[in-house]
Amino acid sequence: MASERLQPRRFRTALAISIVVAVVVLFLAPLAGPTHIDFAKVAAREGPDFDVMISLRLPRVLLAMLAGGCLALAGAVFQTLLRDALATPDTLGISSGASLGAVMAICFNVGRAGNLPVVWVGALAGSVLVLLLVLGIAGAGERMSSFTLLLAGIAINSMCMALIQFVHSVAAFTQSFSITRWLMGGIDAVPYPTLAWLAALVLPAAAVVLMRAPAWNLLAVGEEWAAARGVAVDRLLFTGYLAASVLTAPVTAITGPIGFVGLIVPHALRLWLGADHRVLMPCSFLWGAALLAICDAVARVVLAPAEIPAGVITALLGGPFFMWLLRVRKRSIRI
Amino acid sequence: MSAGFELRNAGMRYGAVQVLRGVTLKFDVDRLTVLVGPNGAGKSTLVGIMAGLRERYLGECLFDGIEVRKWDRRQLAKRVSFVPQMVRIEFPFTAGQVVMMGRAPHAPGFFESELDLRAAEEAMELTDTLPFRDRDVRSLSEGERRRVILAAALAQSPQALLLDEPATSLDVRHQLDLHRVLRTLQQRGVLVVAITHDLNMAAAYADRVVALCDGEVVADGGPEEALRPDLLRRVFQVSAEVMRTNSGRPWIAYGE
Repeated sequence: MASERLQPRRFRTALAISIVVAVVVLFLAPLAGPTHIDFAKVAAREGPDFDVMISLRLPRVLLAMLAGGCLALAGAVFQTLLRDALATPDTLGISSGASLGAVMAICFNVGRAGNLPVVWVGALAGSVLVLLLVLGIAGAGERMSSFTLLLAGIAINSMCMALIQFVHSVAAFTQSFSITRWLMGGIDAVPYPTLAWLAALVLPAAAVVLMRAPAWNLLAVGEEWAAARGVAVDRLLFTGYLAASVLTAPVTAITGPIGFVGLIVPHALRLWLGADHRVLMPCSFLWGAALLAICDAVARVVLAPAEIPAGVITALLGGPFFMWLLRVRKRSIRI
Repeated sequence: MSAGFELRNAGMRYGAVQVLRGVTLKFDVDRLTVLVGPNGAGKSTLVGIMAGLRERYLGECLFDGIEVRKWDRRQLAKRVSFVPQMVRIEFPFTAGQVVMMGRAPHAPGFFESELDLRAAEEAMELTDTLPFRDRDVRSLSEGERRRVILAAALAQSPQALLLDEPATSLDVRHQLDLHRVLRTLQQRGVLVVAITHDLNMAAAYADRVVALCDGEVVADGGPEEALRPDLLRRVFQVSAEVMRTNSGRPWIAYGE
C-alpha cells in the first residue's frame, strides 16, 4: 500500500510499539538502583521496599519520563520551526534563560520563595523573560519568520550563556560548586504534587503541538509552502515557539539542562518512521520518555551509591546508538 | 463560469525599491498565459501577489472578485495553487507525502481520505512521478523533484494554477509533458499562468504572452504580437530573428 497517505493502521502500529516500550520502561526502571527492590513486597505494601519504591524511585522515574518526553517533543518542534535538523530545545535560548535564572538564584542565595525552591522560580522567570524577549524581537515590525526567530533566539541565547559565565565567575566557592552541579542537569525524586503541577503545565502544550501535526508537515517544507496551502504561518510559528517553550522551561527548571534527548530522539525516529509529524511527534514524546528514564536508571546504578548526571549518560549512551543508526540507515527500516 | 484574476494598478515595493508598478491585467481560463521578462522584471513578485504570498502589495488584485489579501487563507488555497521556483526539503519526506501535502487545504482532519489519495495519485500520474512515490525526495534528481512539486500543486485541485519557472531542470521530454499537462488543465477549465525564460516554449505553447520589464508590463498579446524582434531587443537586449515552424508558430533564433 502506498505510504504517502498516512494509514490509520500504520499510525496505530508505530504508536502501539512506542507505548509498549514506554510502559515497559515505566515498570522496569524503578527496579534499578543501589538497593534491591522486591516487586512482591511492593505489591503487598510491605517494608522498606514499598517506601523506597513509592517515595523515591517511582516519582524519579515519572519525572524522568515526563522530562524526556517534553524535551524530545520540543526538539521536534524546534527542528521544524527552524527547518534545521540540528536545532534543539537549547537553540533559541529557553533553556539557557532557565539556567541563567537558576544560576542567579543560587549565586544570590535567596533561600526559598514561599513553598517552592527558589532555583525553580529563578529558572522559570529566566525562561519567561527569554520567551518574551525573543517573541518581542522576532515579532516586531515585519511578520515573524523562522529567520527572525532564529536570529533573535541565537542572540539571546549567547547573551544568556555569557551572563551565566559572568555570574559563575563572581560567585563564592560553595555557590560555584552548586552552580556547576546544577548546570550538569539531573533527575531527582520530587514530591507528587510537583509532578502533578508539571504535568498540568506541559501536557496541554504537548496536546496543542500534537494536534497541529499536519501543519508542522507543511512548515517543515517551507513557510511559503505552508502559506500557499492555507496555513497562517506567523501564527503557527508563534504557537510553536510558545508551546515548545512551555514544554522546555518547567522541565529545565526542575532538572537543570539535559542535552541530547531533544536532538537524538526525533532524529532517530525520522530514520525509522520518516518525516510525517503525525507519527513522529507522539512517538518522539514516548521514546524521549523511555530514553531519559533508562539513562537515569543507568546513572544511579553504574557507580552506586554515587550518581552520574543523567545528561552525561544520555550523551554517552545516545551518541554511539545514534552513530549505529546512521550506519544502518541505508537499509532503511520502515514499518 | 470559472474564477479569474483581475489586477488594477497593482505594484510592490521592497523598502525603497519599487519592483512592480501599475500592473493592470486580467487573467481568465480562455487563454493559457505565459509571463516572460528578464531577471528582476517582477514576474515572481506578480505571481506571488496573485498566490496570496505578498500581502503588502499596492493597488488591487482580485481573485473571483475579492481582494486576494482579504481571502481566508484556506479558502484561497482550495482554489489557487502555486508552484514555487525552488523548494528545499530538509527532512525525509517521501515524494508521495510531498504530493499529498497539496491536499492539506481540502483535508482539515488529521488523516487524509480515499478521495485525497485518488487526487494525489492522479496528480502523480499526470507528472510521471508514480515510479518514485516512495523514495525520499532528497534523493531525487532536481528535475524529478520539480515534477513532485508540480504534482503537489495539481493535487490541490485548483481553479487557478500559478507556476514560477516550472520547466527549469526538466529534460526535453518532461518539458513537453509539462506543457501538455498545462494545456489539458486549461481545457478542463483551470486558469493557468506560468513564468518561463524559454521564449520558444512560450511561442509554441502559450495562447497569450505577457512581457514584463523593470516592473512594468511592456507587451501583452498572442505569441506573434508579444515576441517581435524589436521588443526582444528592447526587453531582453538580444538580437533575435523570429522564424516560423512548419505548424506556423513563431520560432526565435538568437544572434545576428
